[in-house]
Amino acid sequence: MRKTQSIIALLISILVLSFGTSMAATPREGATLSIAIKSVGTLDPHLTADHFDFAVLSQIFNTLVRTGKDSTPIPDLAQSWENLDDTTWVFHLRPGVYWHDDNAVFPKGESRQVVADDVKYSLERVLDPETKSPFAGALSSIASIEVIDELTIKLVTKGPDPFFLDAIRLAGIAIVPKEAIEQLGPSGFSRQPIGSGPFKIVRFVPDDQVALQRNDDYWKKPLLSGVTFKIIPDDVVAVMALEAGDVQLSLSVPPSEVDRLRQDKRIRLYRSTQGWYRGLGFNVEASPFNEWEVRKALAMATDISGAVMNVFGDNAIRAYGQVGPGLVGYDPTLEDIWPYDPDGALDLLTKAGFTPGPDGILQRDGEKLTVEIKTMNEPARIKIVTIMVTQMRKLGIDAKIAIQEVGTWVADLQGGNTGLFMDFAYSGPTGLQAMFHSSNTGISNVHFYKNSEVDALLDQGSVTIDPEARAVVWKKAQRLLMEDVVVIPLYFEFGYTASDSRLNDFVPQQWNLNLVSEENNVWLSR
Amino acid sequence: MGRYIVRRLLAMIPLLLGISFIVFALLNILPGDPVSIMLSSNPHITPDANTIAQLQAQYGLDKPLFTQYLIFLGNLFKGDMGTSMYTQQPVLTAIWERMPATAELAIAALIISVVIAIPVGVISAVRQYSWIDHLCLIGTLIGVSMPSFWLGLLLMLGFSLKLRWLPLSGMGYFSNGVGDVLRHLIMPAFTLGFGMAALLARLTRSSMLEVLGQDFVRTARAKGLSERAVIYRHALRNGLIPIFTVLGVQFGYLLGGSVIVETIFSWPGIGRLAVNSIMNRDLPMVQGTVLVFTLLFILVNLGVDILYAAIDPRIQYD
Repeated sequence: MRKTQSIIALLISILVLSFGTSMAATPREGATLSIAIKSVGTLDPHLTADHFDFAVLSQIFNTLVRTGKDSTPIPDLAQSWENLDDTTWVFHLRPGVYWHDDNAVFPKGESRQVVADDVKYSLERVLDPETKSPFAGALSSIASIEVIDELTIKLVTKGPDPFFLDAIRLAGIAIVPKEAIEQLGPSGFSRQPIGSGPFKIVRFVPDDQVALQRNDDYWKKPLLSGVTFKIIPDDVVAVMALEAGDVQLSLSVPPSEVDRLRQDKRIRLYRSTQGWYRGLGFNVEASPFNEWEVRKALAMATDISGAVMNVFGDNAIRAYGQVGPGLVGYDPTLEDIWPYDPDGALDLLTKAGFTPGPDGILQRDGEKLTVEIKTMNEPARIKIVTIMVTQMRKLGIDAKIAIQEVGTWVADLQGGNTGLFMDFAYSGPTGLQAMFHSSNTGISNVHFYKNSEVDALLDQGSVTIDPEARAVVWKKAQRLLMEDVVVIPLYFEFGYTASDSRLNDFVPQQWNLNLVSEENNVWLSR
Repeated sequence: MGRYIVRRLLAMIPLLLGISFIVFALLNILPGDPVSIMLSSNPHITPDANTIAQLQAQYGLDKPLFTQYLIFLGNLFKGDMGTSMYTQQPVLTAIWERMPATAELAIAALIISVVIAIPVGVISAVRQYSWIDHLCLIGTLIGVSMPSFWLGLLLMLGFSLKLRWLPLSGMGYFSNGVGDVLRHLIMPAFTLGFGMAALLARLTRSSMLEVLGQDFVRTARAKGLSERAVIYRHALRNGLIPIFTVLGVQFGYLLGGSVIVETIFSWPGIGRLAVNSIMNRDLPMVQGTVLVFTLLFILVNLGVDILYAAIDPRIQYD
């Protein structure tokens, strides 16, 4: 009897298991996916630097290369590519990729193939100052563009450029058809863009929605029949829209909603693999921050790890350098190079000549030690800075927080109207170069830091193709910067994306939204 | 009357010029330049000095301020308000596209506020110091002091998330039927109209109280007219005149778009356009929206003044 029971149980469980797996394994075709997005400005890829625009653009357009699941380049319009030498790149285009038809430029059934000339045209359009593309600088390393044949193109860079593949895979360097730009004009094209991607435009109602439908002729047939980006400027409302079932994917989830969403079984949360760099920067030319002792003392004065833990829990990890875990140049040995040590901080300040005044505030030659931390208006950053300011005040430092509107904050940082400030977030492969190279002073190097040794290392890093050799150079540069206390790294903040749990084959990425790529094809189960 | 209107319209020209100059000057005093803000929005692009200088030259930002203003004025006289630096759309097109959404919300909010405010105001005036007057007083106090984003979120939680009666956000389209438009409209219009209703109700009450104490009301009552006729035919018509002015001004404001309600309800109106362009220092777009606001505001007020004469024969313009 018991034997029969166990056999029946076994049969049932096999049945359930096989049913379950077959449910998950049979992708359903034809659903429309609604996505909550914060804003959509323009749909001309060459005219925007906004990553929300990129999310839409990467559905309509192809780039030569796309960013894959683990942030590595995967084929897109280019099926393969090779390096003939350190400066020569040859891209072999995928045959049979056609421009979207059934529009003002290509009538139904009268589209044409995407060819190497289109790639040449697109890159030249980005580089042309008349276009006003924010990416002209990113492509400035290109020395020549040569069409070898219909489906082969050769790009030569001015020197070895290890970031070249990173640049051309940004959605802002999408491949566009010349006749569409000419016929529709830049402003018409930015509303009714014609691309070669998995989805084509149906309508774009500014500040309301962008509706896309499946490109049936795509080289990998999308499982979704359409995608609607609903523009919801408020993050909390976007989360509510997900809970109400109005959308099935929300691209920006505020940290305050994360814990609540975790409890909801109908919702799946995705944490970004790499966090955004957040740190404080010094203007090393402004007194008293031009003194190394003062900078070092401030770096040691507050319990940063505790503050990060308190504000973010596991939504962020402590940063000890500007390059995060998982990236070339990450250096774990920088951990606690300046540990939390308020007594040590006070000693350093005393050595620098600061003594407590009658009001308990540290002063030197009658001048108070005033530290005003400028930050843009963002709740989490304000919380962290507030904790730090409170701890600094306990030590007798006249610390305060200045909350600024973004435009003012950028202007103050670039104009050097700062002392200690919430820094820019330039990250990724070129972040160090941007933030610390003397050639970028007043633009992205808002520390006004000039160190020829660091410059030389960064220059070397930016032409070293081999990742391991590059990592060594970058680690050296980073150590110098940390020892010099140009910045106080705080944390890497993870971004969250949330979806309906019925969404399948979706891999969130910080800078990309791949719904249909060589690696995946998103679908929605019933 | 005709001459009066022409005079008012002519007076608009120096006013608009003055406003455009003030906005231009203010935006240039404001720290932050549009190119840097645009580039700093993407940590993957390292802005280099060349790119920034090139973009600034392309947008004409490298020219002296006064030259920039003259170029702007020259284009304006040709009917060209320029193109947005951020979306590359012609400014007028962008404003024109958002006008219907804003007008729809403004008119709906106005109707809701009038429908609530007038009866509430009249009842509390007629039954002064009664419990119903006190109740209305409390209601209007709540209405005036409740922040609209809070009311909006509360309505969304209740009617969209819990009851699932109404769509959470966005605008409806006539192509999907009138029902779709109304279902999307009701919550934002109520949120916007409620605060205004409270203000209007207080005004109606005081205006009615004043009128009810006047001689002609006593005469009407002495004639033996029913109380209903006294209140609605005689008192209300007179009491409404000052309310009309406030309604005109409020409607002018509403046409400028309500940033908070538009943001909460993802309403594609002109308020969001204006604020986003200020944030991005999108100079042509800010100029354009402010000029259009000013123009609308003046026109609405002119309309109210003209209507005045129609309602109250004692008022005459020459």
